[in-house]
Amino acid sequence: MLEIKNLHAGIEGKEILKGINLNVGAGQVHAIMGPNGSGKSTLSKVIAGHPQYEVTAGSIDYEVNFKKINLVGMEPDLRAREGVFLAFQYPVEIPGVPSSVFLRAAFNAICRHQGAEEMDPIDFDKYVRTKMKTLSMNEDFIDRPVNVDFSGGEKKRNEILQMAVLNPRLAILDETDSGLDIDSMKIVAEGVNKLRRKDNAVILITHYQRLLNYIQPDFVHILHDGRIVKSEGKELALEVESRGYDWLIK
Amino acid sequence: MTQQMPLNIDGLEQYQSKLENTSGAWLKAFRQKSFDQWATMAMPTQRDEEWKYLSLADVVNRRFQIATRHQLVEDKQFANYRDKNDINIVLVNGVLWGELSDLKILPLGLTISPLNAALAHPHAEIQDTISKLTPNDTKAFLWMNQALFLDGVYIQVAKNAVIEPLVHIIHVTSGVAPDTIVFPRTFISVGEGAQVNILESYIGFEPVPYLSNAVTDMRIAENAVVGYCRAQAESHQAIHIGTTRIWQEKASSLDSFSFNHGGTLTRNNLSILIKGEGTNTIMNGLYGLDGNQQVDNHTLLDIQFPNCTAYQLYKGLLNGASRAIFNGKIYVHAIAQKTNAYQLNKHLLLGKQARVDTKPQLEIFADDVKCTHGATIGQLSQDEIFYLQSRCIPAQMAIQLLSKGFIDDILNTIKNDSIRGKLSRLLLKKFPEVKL
Repeated sequence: MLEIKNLHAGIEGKEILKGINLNVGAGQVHAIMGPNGSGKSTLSKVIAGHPQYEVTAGSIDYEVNFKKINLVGMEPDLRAREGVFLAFQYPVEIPGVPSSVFLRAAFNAICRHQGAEEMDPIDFDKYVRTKMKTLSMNEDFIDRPVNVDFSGGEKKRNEILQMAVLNPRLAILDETDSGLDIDSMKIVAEGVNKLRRKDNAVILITHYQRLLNYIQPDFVHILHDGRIVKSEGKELALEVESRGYDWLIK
Repeated sequence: MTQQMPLNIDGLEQYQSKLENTSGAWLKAFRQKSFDQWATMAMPTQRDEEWKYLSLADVVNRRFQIATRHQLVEDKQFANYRDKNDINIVLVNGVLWGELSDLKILPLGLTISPLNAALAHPHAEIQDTISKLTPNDTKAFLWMNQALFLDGVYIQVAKNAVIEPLVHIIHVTSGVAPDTIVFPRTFISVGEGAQVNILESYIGFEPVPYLSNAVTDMRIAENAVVGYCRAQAESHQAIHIGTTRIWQEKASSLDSFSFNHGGTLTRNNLSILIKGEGTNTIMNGLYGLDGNQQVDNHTLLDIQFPNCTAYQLYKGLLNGASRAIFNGKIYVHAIAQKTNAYQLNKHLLLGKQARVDTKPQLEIFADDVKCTHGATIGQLSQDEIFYLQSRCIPAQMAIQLLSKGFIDDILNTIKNDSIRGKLSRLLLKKFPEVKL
C-alpha cells in the first residue's frame, strides 16, 4: 500500500530524513519509534504533505484501489482525499469554526472526490454522533469550535473522531499517546482498533511502548538520525522499553 | 470679513441664523458655547499624538456645505435594514423621519422623540449628563456637532422597563450634494434596572463623498442592562467621524459592539466612564476593510470605582491596501481595586498591502487588580491551512473557513440575534470569499 524508497527530506535546507525505506502493506500496523529529534514527526508530515518540508530525493508510492501514485509533490488535500490521514501530535485550534461545520466540509470533500452525493446536515449529524459515542465524547463537542479550549485528551480524541468520520486507507498517528492518561489512551486505542481492516493500514509514531500494549503492531521500526536503523516484530518495542535506544544507536 | 473657521463650510452664517430661530434658550446657549469652542481651535493633525496615524488633510482641504433636505431618496437597499420585528427609528440627514419610523406603537416604558423637542424646555437629565461627559480626542468634531446639529433623537427607557424588541436607530444620509456634512446626534437614557438592546446604524447608498459627524451620548442608570451596537455602513466615499460617550452607573451592565464596514475614512472615539461600583463592561468590535479604506478606533474606559469588570476584543479583517488603527486605553484609578480587565486586538491580513497600527494601553494605578492585554497581526498560518488540507479541504476553501471562523468568533459574542444577523449579512456581501 505504501512504499517509501530512499526518502530524503528537510526543512530550510537542513536535511532531516536521510534515506528512509519503508514498506507498509494493507492490513498491517507499523510502529515507528525513536529518540527525540530522530525525524519521526518529519516523516509523518512529509507523507501527509506539509508545505514546509522539501523532499530532495526518493519517492513515496501509495497504492489505493489498484492505482499507484507518487505522493511527492501532491497537494495535501488531494492526498487526504485519496485516503491518507494524519492524526496530529499538536492539533490546531480553529476559533469560530464549529466542529460540525469542519467535519462536514472534510467529509463532503471526499464525497465530491469520489463522485458520491454529499450527505445532508441532518444525516451527517447522526453519523457523527454515533462515532462520538464510541469515543465517549461529550454531546456539546459538535457545536464547539474545533479544538478551542479542549484539554489535551479531548484534542487527541477529536483526531481519532476525524479519522473515524473520514475512514482513511492509510492512517498515520503522530504521538497520539503523548499527554494522554491511561483511560483516554484505552479509548483512543479502542477507537483505532475498531477501524482496522484488511484493506487499510496504520503507522503509529510513538515515543513509548505503552500504546503498543493496546494497539498491537506487526512491525516495529527504530528511527535514528533520519534513517531506519532496525526493523523487527512487536517484541522490539519491549526491548526498547527495557534497554532504551542507546544499544541501537551505537 | 468672515472669520476663518477650522473647516471650510459654505453658507455657515445663514445656517446658524436658521438654527437660532428654532432653538430654546438652553439649546441656543449650548450651541453658541460649542461654536465658540470649535471656532477657536484647529483641526487635529498627525502632529497630535492621538491622530498620529490618521491624516485629515483631505477633509480639511475640502469646501463643505450643510445638508438642507431631509427626505429619503428611495433605495432598494434601505429595506434590508428595516426589519419588521425591530422598532425602527429612521433619521434622514440628522432629522427624525416619522413616516418610516415605528413611533406609533412603542412598548410600555420606551419614549422616543426628536432631540430638539426634548431640549425645548429645560431637561435636567440630558443637560446634566452632557455637562459631565468630557470631550475626548474628537473634540473638534464634537463641538462642531454641538454647534451645528439641526436635530436628533432622544431615546428614553423608563425605570425597570424591559424592552424586548431591538431598538434600531437608522441614520441615513440621503439626497445630498457632494461634500455635504451631516450631524447625526443621539441621546439615550436607560433608567434604573431597565433592559434594552439598541443598534445604531449609519448608512448611505449614494456614491457621493460626504462627512458624517455623529455624536451619541448615553446614560446608563444603576442596575440597568444594555446591549449597544454601533454599525458604520456608510457609502464607500463617505468620511465618518463618530463620538460615543457613555456614562455607566453602579452595578449596571453594558455589552457594546463597534462594527465598521463602509466609508473611506473613519474615526471612532468611544469613551466609557465608570461612575459606580460593580459594573460590567464589554467593548467588542470588528472591522472588515478592503480597497483603501481606513478605520481608526480609539477607545477609552475610565474606571473610577472598585469591583468592576471589563472585557475588550477588537478584531480586524483587512483586504487590499486597507488600513486599521487601534488605540485602546483602560485607566484603572487608585480607588478602583479588584478591577478585572482584559483587552485584546487581533487582525487577519488578507491583503498584501494592508497595514495595522495598534496600541493597547492599560494604565493601572490600583494594586489589587487583574489586568491583561495584547495584540496580534498576522496572516493565516501555514500550519492552520495544512491542518484543514490534511482533512481533505482544498487550500482555497481552507482560507475561507479560517477567515469566516476569525469573523464568527467575534460576531458570536453578540447576543442579540437581530443585530448579529444584520452584521453577518453585510460582511458576507463584502467578503464573498468567506461565504460558504
